[in-house]
Amino acid sequence: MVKKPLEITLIGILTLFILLPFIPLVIWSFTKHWPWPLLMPENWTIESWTYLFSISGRAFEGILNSFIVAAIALLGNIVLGIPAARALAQNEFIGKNIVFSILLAPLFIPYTISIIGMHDFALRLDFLNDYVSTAIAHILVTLPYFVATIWFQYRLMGKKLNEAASILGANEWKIFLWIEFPLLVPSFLLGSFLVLVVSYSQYLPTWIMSGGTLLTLPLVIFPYANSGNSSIVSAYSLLFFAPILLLLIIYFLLLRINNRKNTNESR
Amino acid sequence: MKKSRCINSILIMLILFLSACTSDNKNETKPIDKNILTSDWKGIKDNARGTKVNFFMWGGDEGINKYIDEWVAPRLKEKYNVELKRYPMDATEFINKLMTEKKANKTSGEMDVLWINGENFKIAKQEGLLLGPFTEKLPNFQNYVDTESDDIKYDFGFPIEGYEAPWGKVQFVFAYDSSKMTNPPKSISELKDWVKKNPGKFTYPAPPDFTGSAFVRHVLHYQTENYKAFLNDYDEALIDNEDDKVWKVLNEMKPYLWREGKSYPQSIAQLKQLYKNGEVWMTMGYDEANASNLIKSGEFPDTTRTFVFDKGTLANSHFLAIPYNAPNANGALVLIDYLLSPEAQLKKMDLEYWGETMSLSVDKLSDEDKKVMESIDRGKATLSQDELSNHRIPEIGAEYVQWLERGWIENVGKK
Amino acid sequence: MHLDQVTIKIHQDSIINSLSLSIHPGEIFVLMGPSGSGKTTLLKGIAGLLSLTSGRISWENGIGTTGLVFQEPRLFPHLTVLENIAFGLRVQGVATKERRLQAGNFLKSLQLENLGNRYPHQLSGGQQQRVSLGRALILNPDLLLLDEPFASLDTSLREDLISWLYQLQRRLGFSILWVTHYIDEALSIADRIGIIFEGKLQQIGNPSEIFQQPDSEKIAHFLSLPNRFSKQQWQNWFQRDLPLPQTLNRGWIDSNHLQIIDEESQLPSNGIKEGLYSIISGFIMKVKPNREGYTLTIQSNSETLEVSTIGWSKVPALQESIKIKIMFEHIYWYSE
Repeated sequence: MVKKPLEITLIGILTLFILLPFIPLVIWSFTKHWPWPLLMPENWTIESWTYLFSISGRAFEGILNSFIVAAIALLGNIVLGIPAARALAQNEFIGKNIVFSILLAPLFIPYTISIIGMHDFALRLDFLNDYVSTAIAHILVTLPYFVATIWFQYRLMGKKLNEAASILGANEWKIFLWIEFPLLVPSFLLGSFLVLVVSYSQYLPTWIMSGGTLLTLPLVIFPYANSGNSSIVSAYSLLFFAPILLLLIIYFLLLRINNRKNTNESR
Repeated sequence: MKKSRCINSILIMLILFLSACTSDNKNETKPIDKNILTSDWKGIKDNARGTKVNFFMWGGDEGINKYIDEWVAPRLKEKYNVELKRYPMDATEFINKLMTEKKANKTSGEMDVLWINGENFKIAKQEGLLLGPFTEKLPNFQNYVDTESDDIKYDFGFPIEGYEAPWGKVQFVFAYDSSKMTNPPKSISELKDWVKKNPGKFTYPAPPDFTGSAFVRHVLHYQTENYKAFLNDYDEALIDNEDDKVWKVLNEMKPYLWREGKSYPQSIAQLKQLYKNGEVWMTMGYDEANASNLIKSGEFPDTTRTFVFDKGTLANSHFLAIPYNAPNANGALVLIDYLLSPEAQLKKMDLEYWGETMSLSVDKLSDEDKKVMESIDRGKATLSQDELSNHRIPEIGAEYVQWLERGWIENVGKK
Repeated sequence: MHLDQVTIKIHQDSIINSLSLSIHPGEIFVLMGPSGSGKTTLLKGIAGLLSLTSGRISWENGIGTTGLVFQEPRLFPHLTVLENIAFGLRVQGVATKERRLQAGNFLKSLQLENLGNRYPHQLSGGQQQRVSLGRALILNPDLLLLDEPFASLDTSLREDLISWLYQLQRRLGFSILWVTHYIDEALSIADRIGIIFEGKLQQIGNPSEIFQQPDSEKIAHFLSLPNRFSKQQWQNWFQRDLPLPQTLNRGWIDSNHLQIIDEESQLPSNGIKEGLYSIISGFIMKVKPNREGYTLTIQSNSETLEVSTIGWSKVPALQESIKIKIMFEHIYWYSE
């Protein structure tokens, strides 16, 4: 299909707006000194980047810890969120609205209030491994996104296909595995993407639950945020965005594979 | 029915989860062995072997971080077989953490060594959050520290009594760009004149920022006739006589500051940024080597130099302490002792990592170490040890500091 | 299959009330009834999608299987035609190769050869419904339950599919419980027809019984039988007491059995003995052409009658005055 010039211009402008803030970050990450009136810094250096990947920079440690916590949080979301979304979408029961409100509450309750509760929670979950207790807090924060996404898709699907499959002899588990899940894939991917990105960006819940000892990427970065060292902060910011960008690419790739699977042979 | 069972289990999980938030839960971890402080140094070293020690400290400086991770950690491992892990955390945060743990009766925490001073130390000691006294246990403290000097016995006027060991000393200095100005002001009144002649080229961070607060203390030092009184116990009568003089000078300066004093930088980071951008010509900081460090890293212009007032600038020490519930107190003692060794202290002075003045007494060093010390390059912007130590003024009590910070907001910031 | 006193309640409302019914092997049983009468609920109950509140289902051979086809095809959008058809076999654990083979062979009788690898959205509505039927039939159900399966298709396609399914059923010999609201559909295929109201079967019979001899005015009304009048009205027209049992207080007559009498045509011809009859007069209100001739709506005093004429010889004019002959023997009597 040939795109209209206007469309191309709009996409171009949009891309520019998204990319624009990254340009100074990239420049700053390669220089220590970039005084205001200068268009470009005079001296370039990769010191900030070498620091990031040094023992003190902890880039790998941060990414690895972030990844482990996000993976556990995603697992928890899948185990808790899919049955919850399914029950909320397919069944009528007393107190449904209350359960729904509780599940979505972290989206509406002011952050500070949940944080206060979390301090207490952290002490009580002290016996758990830091990864697990932190992931539990992340599950609380991310579950609304996941449940809402899956719930929405379940609502769209309705129960008609379930009935059809049930008549053909399929039990609940086979219906889920063979009918519901394949149809949930697009929203499952979106929900998982949201969970990973939201978990990945958490600072306070991680801090509180681990007592500041589980150095996920935001915890690695935070001490530098107020140091006035623009170069290091810029390099860390770019490092922070890289996995999100990667996840976004993976998300779109998987979505495309899934779509192609469902529409192949179309002539 | 299957479906309702599924819902029930979700509801039950939710209820369990919510009830877990309110139910009581007794902590079963072991309290630490108080005998540590009575055992001998060899025993402590033996017990520390093969352990891991968690060092909680402010983490915003690459040089300091590298010093701990790349220089201290491998040597501690090699010499004492103790693994060192640094956790970045601000002092107010780890004190809060300790307070919560104390309230919850948590007898085994996560932190072994804390980097602390001033107000935070005072709170921690008063609340019983610290293990001690421990400094007399440390061979390097006994051998190299001038245990009788005031800045080792008091921390912002508060008696230390062996609950923290001095790690380093810092002195407040002003920095300026020598390509833009010569003859920097040598007193508050000269500064005032300079500011009036060069409007918009000077500002200071708004208290309660640490640096901004220290700047205001210099004004107090200059204006008051009995500065010494502020080192003693808190006395309201003293304040009433002195405060107007301080606000008067600052308000006279205000219209000539950056942005006509309508807004102030909120942190030292912002002020440094303004200086880097050339918007202001002077900056300041509670670290005499910081300017040299930043020249080296290319952040500050090469022509940056530092100066102190004729009547002196504030100096203080910073310390290392051990929390009451340190899981590895033996390791903590070994680490602190090593950080106080001449070897580690001399390396700390080196601009390569940190460039900070040591907490040891130069007189007590061996001749060899003295030679090493003289050969250390502290950078072209750093003043000489003599110049610095001859222009030192002590810190005032924490209550006075708070009073100045509140007063500034009322009488200068809001006006 | 036998239903014995089956009751189905949903949220305390009885949708099916103590209903009993037997469907014989190889039979096509058509279930008709107004919307909300419980047809779909009954099908879902038999298929096991809804649980019976009371009563039971039994089978000739002890156990029986059912297949249910809905009004919409409800195909699995992410599976190919072949995979949709093979779904039931997959549930039963038939090996991939084997079930592809079976489903592939089945495509022929569904007239869907070469479409096995298509996805549902690439098929026409009729093809989709055939896949849906095939998906149920491949499991060889003892009883196929159809819930207005062709209602959303256009008439000619619907007729094609009905005759296709009819032939398939005669060949394979399964029985069908078929819910429809199309009378022509019911007439063309049903072995027996049942009428259901408010969760209760009102009448069961073969198509001609149901259509000619309704048990009640409710059924007659539901089937839109023409020319239904009370005994009193008929007596007015015949101007005498009619010799009928007390319970039969209504009667209807097919519009084909009403005879228009021209001005020229002669009254009772000689020789042939005729039964009791009445002649009423009225005028033409409406003229509706049909395949055989015209259907006329006649106003006679306060009543309207429907009359069919056969042949096209004379086009009736509106407002024309007309006389109709009603033979008593052609009136079917039933109760209110």
